[in-house]
Amino acid sequence: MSVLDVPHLLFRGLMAWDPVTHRSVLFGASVTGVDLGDGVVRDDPVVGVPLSLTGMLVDADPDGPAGAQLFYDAFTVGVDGGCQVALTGARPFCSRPTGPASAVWQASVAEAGFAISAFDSVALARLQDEVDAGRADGITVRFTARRDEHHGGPARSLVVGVVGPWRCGEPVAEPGDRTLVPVGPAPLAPASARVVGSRLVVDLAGSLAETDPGPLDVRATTPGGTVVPLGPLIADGHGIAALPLDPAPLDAAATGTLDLVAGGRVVLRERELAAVATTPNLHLDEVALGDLDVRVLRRGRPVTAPTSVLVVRPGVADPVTVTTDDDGCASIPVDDAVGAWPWILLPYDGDPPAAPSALDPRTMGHATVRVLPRDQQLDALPPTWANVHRHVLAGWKAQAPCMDGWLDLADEAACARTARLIRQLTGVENHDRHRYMPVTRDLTVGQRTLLHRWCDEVTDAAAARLRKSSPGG
Amino acid sequence: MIRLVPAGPTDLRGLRTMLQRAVRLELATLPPYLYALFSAGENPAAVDRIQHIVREEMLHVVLVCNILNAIGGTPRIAHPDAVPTYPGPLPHSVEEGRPIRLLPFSVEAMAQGVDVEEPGEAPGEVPFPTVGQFYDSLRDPLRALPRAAWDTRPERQLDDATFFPGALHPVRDADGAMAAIDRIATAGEGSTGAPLAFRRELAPHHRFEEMRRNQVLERAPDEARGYRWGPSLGIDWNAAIPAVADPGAHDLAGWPEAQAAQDRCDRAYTSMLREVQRAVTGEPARLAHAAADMLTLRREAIRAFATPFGTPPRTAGPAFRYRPGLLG
Repeated sequence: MSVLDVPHLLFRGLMAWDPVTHRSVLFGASVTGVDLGDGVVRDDPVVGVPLSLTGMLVDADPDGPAGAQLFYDAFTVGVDGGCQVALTGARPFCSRPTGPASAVWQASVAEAGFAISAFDSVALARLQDEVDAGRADGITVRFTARRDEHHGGPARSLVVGVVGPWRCGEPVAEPGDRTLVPVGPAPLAPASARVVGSRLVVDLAGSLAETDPGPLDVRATTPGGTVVPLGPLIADGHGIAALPLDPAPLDAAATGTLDLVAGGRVVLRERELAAVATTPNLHLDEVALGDLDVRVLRRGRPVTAPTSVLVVRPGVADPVTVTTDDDGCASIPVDDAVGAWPWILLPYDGDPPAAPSALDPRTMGHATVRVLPRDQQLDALPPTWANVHRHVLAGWKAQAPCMDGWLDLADEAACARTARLIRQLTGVENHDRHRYMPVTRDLTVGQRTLLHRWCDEVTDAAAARLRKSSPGG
Repeated sequence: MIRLVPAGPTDLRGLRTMLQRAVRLELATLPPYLYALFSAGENPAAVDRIQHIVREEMLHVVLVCNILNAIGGTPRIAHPDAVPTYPGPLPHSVEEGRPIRLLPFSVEAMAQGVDVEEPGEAPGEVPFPTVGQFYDSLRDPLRALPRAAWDTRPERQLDDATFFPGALHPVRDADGAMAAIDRIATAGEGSTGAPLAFRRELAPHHRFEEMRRNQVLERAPDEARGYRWGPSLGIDWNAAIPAVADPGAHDLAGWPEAQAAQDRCDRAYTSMLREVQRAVTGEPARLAHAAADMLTLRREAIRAFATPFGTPPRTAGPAFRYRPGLLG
């Protein structure tokens, strides 16, 4: 994953997840170190600054094992006026479950969506340099959230994370590094690995989120079949292990297949191929069905030849095979099956693998695609309050009672006064914004059209009354 | 800088009295800041800063209530004695000739914020302590209380399960009280006079000064004080809502729509105070209702700002009056 590259910032904190309001807040978080390539240091002035993130936790597939997103407007490292990285959330954080109560979250922001105030921070200046020099497209933030089982009440997670460069061509919202997947019954989640300079860097934050296998060693099996022990992996408090290597073992690490060994047994093994979706949680509707864009990576790099991908949707459709182009990209048409489904993506060389009967989100490439119905029967309805409340707003109240916190959705007068804002917050262009309504993103084209027609009428009527009542009106 | 009337006796009863004073003081800063916030218009940098300050002041109110409850007291929030009128002096301050006003977002409003929040050490003897010195004066008497003086009933304490994660802690003993006072007294870098390192959010008076100047206060480790004045903060004073100052001081007789708008604001504010009162006196879950009332207050304030009165026309605004009669 690109954030294993340098320079990167490490942080730690807590996350509060409110299942009623969907509101999720990072708190008590601060930068704990920076890595410029020679290990973690703590004398950079950005170390110690707080982080802030408030988002809305939404499941693209509430019934499935994957598809959680965090819609946010701002992720900030530092305070205004000091060493700071300020990201504007154009696309949500997407999650990869790593266990029953843990997940890895990732989001990337292109150059236009962030601002760095480096001052005397070497780490931030280097991060800006990577973007300015064209070696990175932007910034990636990744964190692992692990449920703090000692806290009662609403869910709280311990969070460790990294802020680093989003290298050109790498996935936006999920790890694109070399992937090591569990072998056998060990309850470990996948790890990501990357050779950076003269070090092998492994992100074990997700792997170790819910279990501790004891001391870990890493080894590489060269293309010729030679097993080369590389050394012990000792993760820091953020789950990152960086192992300096001499040239020969470094070459083995770079070209061989990596294994993580615990107690003499291989617990994680590198999987050569991975398929990642450009948009891991795809929101579509019957009017504007599109494609699920995927890219195949071989050992963390885009493939350079056409590669087959088995696409499996258990219980929805028969498996199909698609073939990427020379750059590893493929666009898979989404049919008109209304609902939310996981799409399992299994790239392969040679013979296709057996189609799984269910998604294991820890080990299988996947995306979640949700298709909302058109609801065209609403087009013919007059845009009255009764129709809007019955067909649109009453459903919101049932799905997410939290919205009553700021607007009584059963109060015609209150909604009419807020019509302009409602129209704004329900606009397609604001779908990925923190305050989009409804928070669950369950607004069909037919519902939006009806709602906006009503909003426009009440807004126009109010404007007409104002003109009539003003002097000279 | 606010200077307070001298602290009284420091026995248990005296501590309860002083903590109730602290409740009134912390509560009294909210309306002026909310008025500026609601009228700030399209000024995102200023809105962010004032919102942060308002959240911190709300946290202070609840922390003080936690301490007061923990020593057997009963906070008074929704009570005519607890709610000041505006313009008027801050409760228990000595500067009666310097009223605190409800000012729309403006240079003047930000200057008032600087004045209210400015920390400082009163030189020599302390007949009129600053706010920080006032809180410090509570520490030793609280530590000296016997164990039996502490009320540990959980329903009398608010925690961070829903609001203020990581910051709102129940108080059950002197250590908890000290932690609460630490949070109140050191709310932001720069409250103690040490050079700024920009490793924490800055103290409110720095942020108010930024807004007053319309300049960013930025890190300067080569400067003795640790900061310098940087580029524009980007405030557009013309984008603020041109609300009237001290709306409660205007006679709205003859302007029924403006009066109704102000009544709606007062109703929302009164309801909010009532819900906070319930939350801090045995019904912690009511804090969520208080939050909902705050949102209602904001909606009604915006509506009032669009309601004209007078000749030449001005607009009404929230007067932040406690009027239980409006609740029926």
